[in-house]
Amino acid sequence: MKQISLIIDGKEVRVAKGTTILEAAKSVGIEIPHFCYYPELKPTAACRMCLVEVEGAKDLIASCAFQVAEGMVVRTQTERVIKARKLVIELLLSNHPLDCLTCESNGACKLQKYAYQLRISSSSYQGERHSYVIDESNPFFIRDYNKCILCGRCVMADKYVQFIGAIDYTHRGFNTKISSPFDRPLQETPCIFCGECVAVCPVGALMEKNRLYKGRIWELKKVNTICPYCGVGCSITLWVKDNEVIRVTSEGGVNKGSLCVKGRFGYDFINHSDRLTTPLVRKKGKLVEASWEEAIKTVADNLHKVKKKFGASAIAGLSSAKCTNEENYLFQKMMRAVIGTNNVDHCARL
Amino acid sequence: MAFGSGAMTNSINDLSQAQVFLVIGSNTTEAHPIIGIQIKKAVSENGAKLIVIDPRKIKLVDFAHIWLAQKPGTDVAIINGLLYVILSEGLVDKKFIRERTEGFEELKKVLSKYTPEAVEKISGVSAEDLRKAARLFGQAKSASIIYSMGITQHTTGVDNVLALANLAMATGNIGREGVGINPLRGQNNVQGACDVGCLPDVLPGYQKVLEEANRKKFEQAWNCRLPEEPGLTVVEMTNAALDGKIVAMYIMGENPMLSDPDLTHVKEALESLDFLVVQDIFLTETAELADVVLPGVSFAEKDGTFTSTERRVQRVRKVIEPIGGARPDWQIILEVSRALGYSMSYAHPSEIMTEIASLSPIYGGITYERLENGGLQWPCPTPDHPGTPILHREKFSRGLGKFHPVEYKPPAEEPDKNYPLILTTGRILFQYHTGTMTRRSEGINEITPTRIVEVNPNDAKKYRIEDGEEILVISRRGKVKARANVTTSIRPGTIFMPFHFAESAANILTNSALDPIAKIPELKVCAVRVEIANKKQ
Amino acid sequence: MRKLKDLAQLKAFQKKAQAKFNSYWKRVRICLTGCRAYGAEDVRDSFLKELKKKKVQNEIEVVETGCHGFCARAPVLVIDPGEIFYQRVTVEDVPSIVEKTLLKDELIDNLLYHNPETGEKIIRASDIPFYRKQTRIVLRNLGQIDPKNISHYLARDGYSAFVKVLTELSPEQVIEEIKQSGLRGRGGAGFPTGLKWELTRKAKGSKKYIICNADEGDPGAFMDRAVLEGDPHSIVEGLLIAGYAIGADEGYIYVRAEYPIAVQHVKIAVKQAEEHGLLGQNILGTGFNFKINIKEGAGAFVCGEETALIASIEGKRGMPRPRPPFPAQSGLWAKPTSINNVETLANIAWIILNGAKKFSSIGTEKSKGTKIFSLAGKVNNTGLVEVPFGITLREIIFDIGGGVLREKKFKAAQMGGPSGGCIPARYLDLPLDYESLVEIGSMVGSGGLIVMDEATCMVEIARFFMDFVQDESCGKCTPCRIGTKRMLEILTRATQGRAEEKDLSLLLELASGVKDTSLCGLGKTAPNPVLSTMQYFEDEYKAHVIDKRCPAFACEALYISPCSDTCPARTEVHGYVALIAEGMFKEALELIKETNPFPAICGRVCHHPCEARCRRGDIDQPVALRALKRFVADRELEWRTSPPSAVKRTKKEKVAIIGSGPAGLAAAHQLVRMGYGVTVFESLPVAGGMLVAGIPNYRLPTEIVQLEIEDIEALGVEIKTNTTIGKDISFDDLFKQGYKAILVAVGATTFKKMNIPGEDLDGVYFGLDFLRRVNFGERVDLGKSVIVIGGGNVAVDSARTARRLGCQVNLLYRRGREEMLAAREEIEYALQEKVGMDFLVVVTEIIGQNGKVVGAKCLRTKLGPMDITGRRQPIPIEGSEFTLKADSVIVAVGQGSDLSFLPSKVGISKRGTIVVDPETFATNYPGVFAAGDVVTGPATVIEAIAAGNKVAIAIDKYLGGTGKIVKERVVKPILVKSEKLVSEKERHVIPTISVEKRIANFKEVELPYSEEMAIEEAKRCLKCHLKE
Repeated sequence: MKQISLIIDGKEVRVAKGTTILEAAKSVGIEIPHFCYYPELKPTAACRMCLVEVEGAKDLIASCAFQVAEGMVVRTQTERVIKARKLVIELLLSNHPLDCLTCESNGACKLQKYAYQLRISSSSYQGERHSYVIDESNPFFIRDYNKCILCGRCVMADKYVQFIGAIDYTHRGFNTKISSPFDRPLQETPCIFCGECVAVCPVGALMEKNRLYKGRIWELKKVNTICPYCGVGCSITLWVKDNEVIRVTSEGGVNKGSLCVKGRFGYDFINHSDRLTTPLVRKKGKLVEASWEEAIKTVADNLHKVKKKFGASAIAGLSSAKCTNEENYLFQKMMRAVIGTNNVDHCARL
Repeated sequence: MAFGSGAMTNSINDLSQAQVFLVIGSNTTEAHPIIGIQIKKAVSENGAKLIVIDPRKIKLVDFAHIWLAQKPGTDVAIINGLLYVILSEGLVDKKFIRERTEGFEELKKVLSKYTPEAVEKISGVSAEDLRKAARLFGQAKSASIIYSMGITQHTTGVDNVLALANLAMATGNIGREGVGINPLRGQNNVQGACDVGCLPDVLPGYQKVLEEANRKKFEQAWNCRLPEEPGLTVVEMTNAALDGKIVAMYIMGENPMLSDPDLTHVKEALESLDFLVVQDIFLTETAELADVVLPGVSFAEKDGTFTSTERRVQRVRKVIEPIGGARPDWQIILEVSRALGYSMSYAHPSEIMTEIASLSPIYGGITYERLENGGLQWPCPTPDHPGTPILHREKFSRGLGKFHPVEYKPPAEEPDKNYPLILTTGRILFQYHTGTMTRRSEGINEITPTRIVEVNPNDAKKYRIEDGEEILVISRRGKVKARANVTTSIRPGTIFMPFHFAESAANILTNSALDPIAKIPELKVCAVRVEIANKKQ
Repeated sequence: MRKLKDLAQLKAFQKKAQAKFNSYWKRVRICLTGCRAYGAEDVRDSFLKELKKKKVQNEIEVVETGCHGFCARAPVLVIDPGEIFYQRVTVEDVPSIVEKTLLKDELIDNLLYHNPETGEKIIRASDIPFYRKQTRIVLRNLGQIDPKNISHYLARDGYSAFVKVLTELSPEQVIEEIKQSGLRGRGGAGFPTGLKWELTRKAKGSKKYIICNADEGDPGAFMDRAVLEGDPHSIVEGLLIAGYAIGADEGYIYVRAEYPIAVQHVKIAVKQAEEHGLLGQNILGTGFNFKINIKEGAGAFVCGEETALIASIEGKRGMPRPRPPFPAQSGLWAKPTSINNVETLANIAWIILNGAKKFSSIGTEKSKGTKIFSLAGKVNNTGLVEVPFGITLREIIFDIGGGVLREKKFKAAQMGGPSGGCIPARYLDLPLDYESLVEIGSMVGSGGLIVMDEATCMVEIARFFMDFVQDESCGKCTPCRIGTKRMLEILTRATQGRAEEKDLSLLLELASGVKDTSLCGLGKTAPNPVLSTMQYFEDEYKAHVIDKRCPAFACEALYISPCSDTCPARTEVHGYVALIAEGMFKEALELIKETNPFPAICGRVCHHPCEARCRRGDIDQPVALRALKRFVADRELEWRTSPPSAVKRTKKEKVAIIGSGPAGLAAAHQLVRMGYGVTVFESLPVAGGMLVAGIPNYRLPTEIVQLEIEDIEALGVEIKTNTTIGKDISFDDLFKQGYKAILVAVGATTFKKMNIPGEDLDGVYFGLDFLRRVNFGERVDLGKSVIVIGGGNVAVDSARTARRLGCQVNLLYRRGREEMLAAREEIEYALQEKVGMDFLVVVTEIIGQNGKVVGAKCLRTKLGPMDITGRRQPIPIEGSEFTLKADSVIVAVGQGSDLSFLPSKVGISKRGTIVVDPETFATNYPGVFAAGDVVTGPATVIEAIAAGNKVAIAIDKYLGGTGKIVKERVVKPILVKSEKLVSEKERHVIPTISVEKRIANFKEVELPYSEEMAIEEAKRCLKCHLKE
């Protein structure tokens, strides 16, 4: 790949041809603020937050979409650039509920972050604010149009990551919003509830229902693990508070951060009230609660009895495609080495 | 059998390099959505071409350049037909065949019967479309075959797979980026369960039970005597139980009461057992029949590893403490074993992995430390081996790839006067397997279309079924009530049911006839008839 | 139709078509596109019927053409041979057209176009001024051919350029030719077309596209529509040539679905071209393939932006994407694509056929060829005009457009639609091209040109365009989506009187921010209407935001009624008119007197700006407000029994007023009513200042002035005549005499000289001095013939006075009649009285013999561009000298004030006026105020009264008062909507005495309305103050 040399804020930068200014800047530690840019998505240059000055160019340049060129001189901190950023933030804030106190995105919100950095606490431009009813029509996430900054990431994710097309920009001008056709509930659209849109939302407009009011972002523990559903092996991150999983996200992995509806939203079962919490032993035809000691003893006694009476081959074991390798290994080891049978299988074929 | 091992030959991320995809018997966007994304992206953005072979108009058909809607159970004919065209139009990879394979001449002989016109008669796929598909596939510089249970859950499942292997080898689509035969595994750790020996005929690492050397190695390591004969497979176990040959069962984290074919039969079998232990996180349909139920934990409550469909071993990490008195499954096994008089002592699952690695060469180089930063794809025989993203690069596991001439055989049960329709079963995006987990996810259930049976409008008209109407689906093995979803996405003469729902369990209807080699039941084809449920009789 | 297989077949076919097209006996070309709205279809039908009736349907051809351009005169038709132009043709006219013109070659006068300036009738279309200054390249076939007939197009050399390209030129040569021609994109941005083609041609890839952008969305612009409707084959040919040049085998025409005729005609044209083998595979056997798709756009303004347009064709929401990559690299379906506007493509064939050289000889250095403008708004000749670049706005609006509607004052032109800017009058003479327009904050844009008069509010215009842009913003980028909304909100607040001063700086900040940060052209140019109006009409913004006033009376919340708000003294005009309509004359007069102590005077001499803004004038004639005022004033003077009684003195302070003109007396009137003691000092023997000294008796009889002054005296004002401050009393003595405040209101009573040779000759008079002498009964001997120099009221008064003294009068003015400052009706009366007027003449020397005037040396002038005051400067024409004979010369070119009596402390400006604080009227001498002409320079009576009113308030405040004028009685006119019956009658002509009687003496020329006439006239009021 051909290398390109350019200067950003006085720093010499060398990057591959085809790199955008924003990415080139990032490679030398210069963060250019942005909303609509997202590494996995095609740049749209919609939010206008990443504008920079390029020597020789009359207009400000959207650094997320503009590719570097040899000898380019870029400035990301000029008065004109800062003014543009402030304008964007102030305009966005002028149509924003500013309810950071109860917003789940507090602490993880890009709008909040840049407003803070630019020391903007309220907008000079007052005017109409939208007050849309929060869309709670689907079971997984809410869409709070009032917080939406129309960066369009969700649309791009829907269209060009998942190739669904359930949502798009609708209406015009100030009333533009992202919605399904005719504002139908997503259930009535091709939406597959992959939650990609939620994942890429830089503010609090799209928010998983399950996490609402269960903990501030900085109170949650994050653990990386693997999705328990199909065989793709997606990397996921579980967000936990008080021994409860309240959110699933993903970064990287074979899935490159994408998930499906089950992977992202199908984890209620972990803390479900139906979970078995104590062993059960059948007594008088009924399953009743028992201690671990009793249960294990019953198992061992009965298996022992059957083995003695009918031989080891009268016992069969089904292991689990849901359990870990280690558990499966132990299970077959138990069947083979302890009980003495090769009657061990699992539902690989089903 | 064709190459010497059964797993995805390539990696998920190199799928994007394929010029042509052949997706057969896989509703990828529903069952493996993330791989579905890769295919959609390659087609939409990289100009890749897509051939879908499926009796249903699955979502991928919207992206496909060619869609062949075959009559269920006719895959061998179709694949042979593709090969026929490829061969007759000189699109085979002669160099690859010459250098890497054997048995091509025998294959040729068999293929001569499978002219597109002949195949059209068997499968209902137009000869012209078949030719187009064959040309598209044959002319591609790199073509990737993706399949799933739609291929394997047949009495001819092995033949189907072998035919696909023939197709890949004849066109040289093996052992490079963007090619290969890529079976997609249905569950998160099916691959791993197989890898570590939860199969009746092989010890961990696919080491055959029948070979004495293998047994010796394990006997030494485990300090025990091992049985010499392979054991029974799932469906065979059910039959054996009914025959009184199996008397006790230990079922860990499985729900045969929904996943297995001919459920009536399964229930009888389980009820006939003297003793049944079920270890699970919920009181499943199967656990309800148990004598002892042991509460295990979910994936979030334990450490361990899963192995994905691309042979990638990855770390599962404990996130929360076990719920209530539940215990990690590995600990339960330790205790049961101890109670049975065999002491195993592992302080942590990582120690179990060390043992697996020491006994199973394909996992030989795998340790928890190495898995810390992403997974490793087996074979990974040594601690410094980087893993194997693509199988059969230089040579096949068995040396030369072998062509297996296979002939079309009809499915075990074909429609007749009394059961005029074919039922095929499958998965839907919003549910997972027997629903143990997903049926307990409130949101998911809210949006899942439950108890659905897809019926073509022609058939609906024929049987006077209205869209949304309750109908009875009846097979020789039982009947199930479900709601008709009249849609052109299913071919006429075939109906489709997902199998996730206990309340209208498709597997009450399915046939437990098995593939003679793989012992996979023919869940994808059985003969049924439909009736309107509330008709006064 | 058989497909034309090769070039020979095409040429043969074309020859046949030409022969047929050129051989006719009579032909009627009737516009059936734009004129449809005015009934052109019915006219056509009735032609067909009538011709059949006369059995000449086979001899006389009726051709349904596209737009002729002169839409103001719709429906229009042209009869060949002879190019007879008939306008506003109705179905009823048709039989006689057939009978007379077609069968007997007789003209029908009332259907011909009459030049409104000269009254001359014009027969041939091309002789009409509207067409004369045009250069029709793009519009070459419009109105000439039937757009639905490919043979017509072929007959007029259609497809010849395409043939030339196919047979003689390589694609590179075509591109070179277009580059040489200097053609630039007519869609707005003006990118060189040849360069665009070259970039597309050179871009990698074998599949390329050419797109015709026919998504015309600017409010008011309709040239693309007209071309598509009237000459669609020119676009097909343009696309073919472009496709050949860039290497594309497929083209799109993206046309908005709201143009059904355009869509239909384009479809017909494409189909015909296909049928004739001009589109398709292996065209004319040359191996060139080309296909045209027609895509109907759903009417989003943003889809005119090229990347949005591409997205729209691809089936996506029409939203722009960032560039690069430019469409030339990666356009439709990611293939190299050239997007050209309709008008651009319509030029192509002409350039190929006539050569780049000929094309580039038209226009300016950087902008070649012509541009079509859609002339709309407050202009007489609305329509489509095609003019060479470099033409001035003045030529377009006044020469071609026939000037502003109803002879109102031109205020601005909005060019380039919502992306363009408002151009003020001062740029009327700027040669128009891409660069010059951008420089002054506007743009060529697609060529929308909306003319605005003084009744157009520039803030409202900015609001309108912002509303449009906000509505049409695709919503993708933040600045355009929210920024334009915030701008719209500020502008809306401004037009509703809710804006604050800081809003103006916010607006400016937003406008420049949105311009700087938006993603696409729509957003980047959206602030232009705001920026340009803020730049050129800042006062108007301030009026809205600070004074809460809309000077154009367009913003309902910000005016009471146009008449009242226009009155400098803020007389409640609609009120007194309503009272007169009710017959409540006394109340009407009282209402007037609240703000004006001189109703009888103003009823005679006021320059009545109120009437100029009267909305009735937009329908027929303004309400005769001045005459109504005179009516009530005269009636009162006639009927009343006694003058008003004195006002009670409530304040101890005394005020001295120097000067008894309208300013001084108006101030005295208000101050005495507030309870002050007021003394007015006048150096002349009579009070009234200019009212008695400067205005001739035939306009304003001295006794009327005296009567109204008596009324003021009756209120308690003391007037000391024959008292000159600085001579009889020293200025400072006034304070010593106990006056707490002194108002200087001495007016502008001195005359200015021209400073030319001969001004000191015997027989040279100066306007004001001359009038005063005549008014005061002095004998002035002018001789037989007089030259009056000047164009103001004093000049016209002097001329008319001289006529009454029995002289031949010749008034010379260095500008044109339009530019004269004198009141319209005074000029009219002067002409009636046979005052000779010669315009565009400057006198360079007064010639004398023996110290006595014998004549004047003159030069002809022409009008140059406007200066900063907005007036066109006369430029002497060299070598145009001539001499006029005269016995005397009256110079009336300006006035000044004699301020020698003032203490030196009082600040005087360079113009010779007193410097005061605009709010408090205070000079820099404490306690000394000034108002009227002495502050403003020579102005009108009502302005002096207004100044007097205001200074009275200021003085009251200075003396510790509240500044409130005591209202004696609150008059509440009965004004309910149910009585909003408006008389449809025309304005009552103000009665005058006959011209013969007039010039014999100094009797008043105008006569009052009768009571009946007055009521009738008052009922003509539209009652704008009620609004709706």
